[in-house]
Amino acid sequence: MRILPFEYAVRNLGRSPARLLLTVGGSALVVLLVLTATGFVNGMQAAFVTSGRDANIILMGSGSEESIERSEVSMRTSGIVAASVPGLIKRAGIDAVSPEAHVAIPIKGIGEEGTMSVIRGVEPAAFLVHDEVRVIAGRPPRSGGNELLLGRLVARGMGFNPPEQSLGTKLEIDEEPYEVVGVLEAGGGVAEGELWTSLTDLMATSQRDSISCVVVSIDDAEPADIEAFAATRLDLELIAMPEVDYYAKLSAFFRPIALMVLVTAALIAIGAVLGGLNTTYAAFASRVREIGTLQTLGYSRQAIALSLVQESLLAAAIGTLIACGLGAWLLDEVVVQFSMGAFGLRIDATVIAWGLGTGLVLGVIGAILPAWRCLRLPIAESLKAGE
Amino acid sequence: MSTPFIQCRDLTRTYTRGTERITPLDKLDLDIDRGRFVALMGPSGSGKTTLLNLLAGIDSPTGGELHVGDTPVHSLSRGRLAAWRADHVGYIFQLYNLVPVLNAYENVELPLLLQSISRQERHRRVSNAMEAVGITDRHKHYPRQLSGGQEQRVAIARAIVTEPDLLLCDEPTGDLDRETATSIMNLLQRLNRDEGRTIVMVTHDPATTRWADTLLHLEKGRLLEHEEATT
Amino acid sequence: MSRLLRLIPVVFRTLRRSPIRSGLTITGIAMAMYLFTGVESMRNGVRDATEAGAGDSMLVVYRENRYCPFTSRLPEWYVDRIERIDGVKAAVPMQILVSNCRASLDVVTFRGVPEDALGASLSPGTEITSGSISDWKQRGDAAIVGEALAARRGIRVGDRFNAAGVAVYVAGILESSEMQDRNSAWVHLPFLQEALRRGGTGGFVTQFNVVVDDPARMDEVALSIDQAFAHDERPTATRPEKAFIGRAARDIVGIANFAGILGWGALVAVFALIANAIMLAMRDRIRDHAIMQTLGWTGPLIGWMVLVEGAMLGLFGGILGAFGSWLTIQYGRFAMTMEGASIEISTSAWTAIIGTGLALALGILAGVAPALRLSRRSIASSFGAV
Repeated sequence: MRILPFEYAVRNLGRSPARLLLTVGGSALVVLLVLTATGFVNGMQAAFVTSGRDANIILMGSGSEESIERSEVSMRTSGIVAASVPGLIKRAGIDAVSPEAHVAIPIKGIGEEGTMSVIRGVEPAAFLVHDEVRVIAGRPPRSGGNELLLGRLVARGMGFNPPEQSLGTKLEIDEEPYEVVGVLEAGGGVAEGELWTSLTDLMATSQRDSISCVVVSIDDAEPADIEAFAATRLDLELIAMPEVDYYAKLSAFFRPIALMVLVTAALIAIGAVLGGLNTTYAAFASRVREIGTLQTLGYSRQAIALSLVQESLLAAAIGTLIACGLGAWLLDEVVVQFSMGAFGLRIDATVIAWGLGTGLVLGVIGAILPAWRCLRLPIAESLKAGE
Repeated sequence: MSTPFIQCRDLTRTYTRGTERITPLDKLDLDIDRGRFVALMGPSGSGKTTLLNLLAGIDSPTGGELHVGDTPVHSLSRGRLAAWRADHVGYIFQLYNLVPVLNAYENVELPLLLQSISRQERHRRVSNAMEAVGITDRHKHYPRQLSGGQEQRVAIARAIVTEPDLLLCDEPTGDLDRETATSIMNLLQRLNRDEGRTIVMVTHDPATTRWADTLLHLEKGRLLEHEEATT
Repeated sequence: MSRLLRLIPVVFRTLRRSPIRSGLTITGIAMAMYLFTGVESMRNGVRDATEAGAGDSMLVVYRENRYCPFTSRLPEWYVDRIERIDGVKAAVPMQILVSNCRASLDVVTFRGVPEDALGASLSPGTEITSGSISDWKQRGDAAIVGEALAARRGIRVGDRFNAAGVAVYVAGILESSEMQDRNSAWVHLPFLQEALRRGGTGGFVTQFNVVVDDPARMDEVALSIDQAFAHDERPTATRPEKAFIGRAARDIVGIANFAGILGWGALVAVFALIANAIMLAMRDRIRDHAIMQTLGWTGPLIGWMVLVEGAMLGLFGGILGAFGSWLTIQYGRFAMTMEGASIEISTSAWTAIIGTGLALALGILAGVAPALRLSRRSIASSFGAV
């Protein structure tokens, strides 16, 4: 099949600068919207995916599988676990057994409206169990000092960029002053949206007499060993759940929200495409006679259709590249504070691929249907068009 | 006696418009020898444009046979027709139908891109065609920068650049003033006499028929009169 | 006037003759109005849940500085002191258990109340539509389920259902004008306390729902309650129920506000779609209009037809989108819950009607400029354009 020169498609773009601007701008907006929505969902899901370690098992109150914040576990549980279950990770004499309190509570900067956040009360063993967590500025909190370790995204969400600038900030938890002494990062995991403090300080502030869970890291032990422990110690009312499973459940919990975001973006994108189709259709329809002439010269319908699609793809591609560039530059790691946590929009290769794919679909659909309409006409009729 | 270049036997074209059947060509029998300059005349709806379109292969008959040269045009598929057109037919329109985003040179070059010839050969043929019609000084101009007569010259150059056997003209001077029309008709006559091209021209204007050597009158899809010009 | 009305079928035929252009435009408008109506429904839900009505008389006494029900713990004996405060008509201790404190679409909220206080806990106008309170009283694990929750989960009287680690028997379904009541399951207080922690929660509850004598004194009574416990080990924060919901469901309120922007964007899109379609149509019909004028049609008459065309596009697209959204929400029964507070995405037919009306108005507006231009155009210039 002999095809029309590519230059023909390029030059046709310049026929109507206004229409080109509309098409490029429209494509850019739609792709940017798709990037934002998929980046939001990607960031939300990624936070959960990176949050669980295979070796970690959570022991929590039975019936609390959906929400650690709800769980209540006796304080003595961590000691009993360490003594009863062999095969746990041990470093320098310290067992990888982390008693933790997860409390959802409003945090206030002095004199400001509180933001609902999750505070995790921990002991030093937590850094052994959650070894993806690193202190990137300052130091871990000490017991008795009302000190806080801020998650990187929490600091950014509070306006500190770089997050290290948050060191020394005073915050209020239940009208008790706390000071930020460090910033943590956790490879994109949920902990980056949390605040960590000493377990005893948090229990005193929140007037708790029980902890939320005990997280253990297994070495030679099997998950089944921990489950057996929970099953035999009925007095402790525990269930054992692999950490990855807990975060998978949490991820599934947010799926309806993710779906809502994607459906809204899809609706807007489809509406924009429909509007664009009308304009493209009109643009091609005004060239029906030209299309008939090209067929008279001997160009096949397929060759002409290909040229029209090239034209549309070019315009859409320009808009798409602009949007992908803007998206990667402006949207990546934008902090979203949502539902007792914070996560960053994640514009990675997958999201960019979605953006490019959207642009491709826009370009092809934007031309295929109008082109088919115009090429459907018998040549003799198309030559009479405009008479 | 040699075989006619164009042979129509019982050539029929019928359309359906809603519930009505329209037959612009009704069992037309017609022979045209190679190298003739034929003017097709007739009132509106007589079938002359339909006949032109069938000769060009941009429409297909619903009955009868049409042979152009050795080719049974009536039986070719859409794809084959396109290829045949590219090699054998040059079409000149009343409204020129140049591609607005291509300049004059590129418009003339367009049909050659369908052929497997080198760039140099393409350039040679385009230059020859533009010279033949007298438009070489405007080769970089875009259609919007040309007068009506100049546009038609470019369209004629485009039609002859593939050196087709058959030139078909649909009211080629319909949109031109008298002086320009005369120069275009002179050009067509020169192509016919000097280069031996067979030309079939549809016209409403009796003045243009004096350049033709054969006059055909169609009415209601049938050949009414066949006149040979007296030189 | 009759001439103007006679032209309406003509315009309709014109739209039908360009099925693809009309279809594309109407579908685009329908999508935008679907989104707009959905957003308005969400905002309606937020308004209904958080804006106090004149007759509202319910206060919620919560643990100060807490919102997640897991974290609010108040001694049950507070109820005696609360009932003695001037202006308080009745106080009911309530334990709340939610499957998850975070915001999402499918959260189950259990409300545990003392057996004899169920009536006082429910809002006036609540009706038990199947089962009965006496059936509920007969079983310790019985629940009366709000009809919105029942519809969402496909629950009927006699079923057993499990959520948040709690297994209950459905003894009744209730209908209520109050959003929170419709979206909760009402169980016995001791049952829920036991479910939360074996041996009970040690005499603690999540909150107290307080009915005041005089709605005009709500703020005064709230202040009195908080002052009464200000120096206790567990101080309280008392707010009108709607205000409490608004604070608890801040994320959802924030989403609804953001969605409002989307809603406006949808309306702008509708305007642009119709304006674009009309502009394209006018370009195609320059010759037709010139010929109509030579036949005796006046410029203003042609302008009127343009207005009608815009109105029709808006009307058809609006009906499709707005009522489509209304149907989706009616059957979907969506509600977002956060920290035990539910906000329904609710809509009435009025929202759909108003949405359609807006699309119609936008259609007319989009046609005004082209109509004016056309009505002033001279025949000569129209032919000049051909």
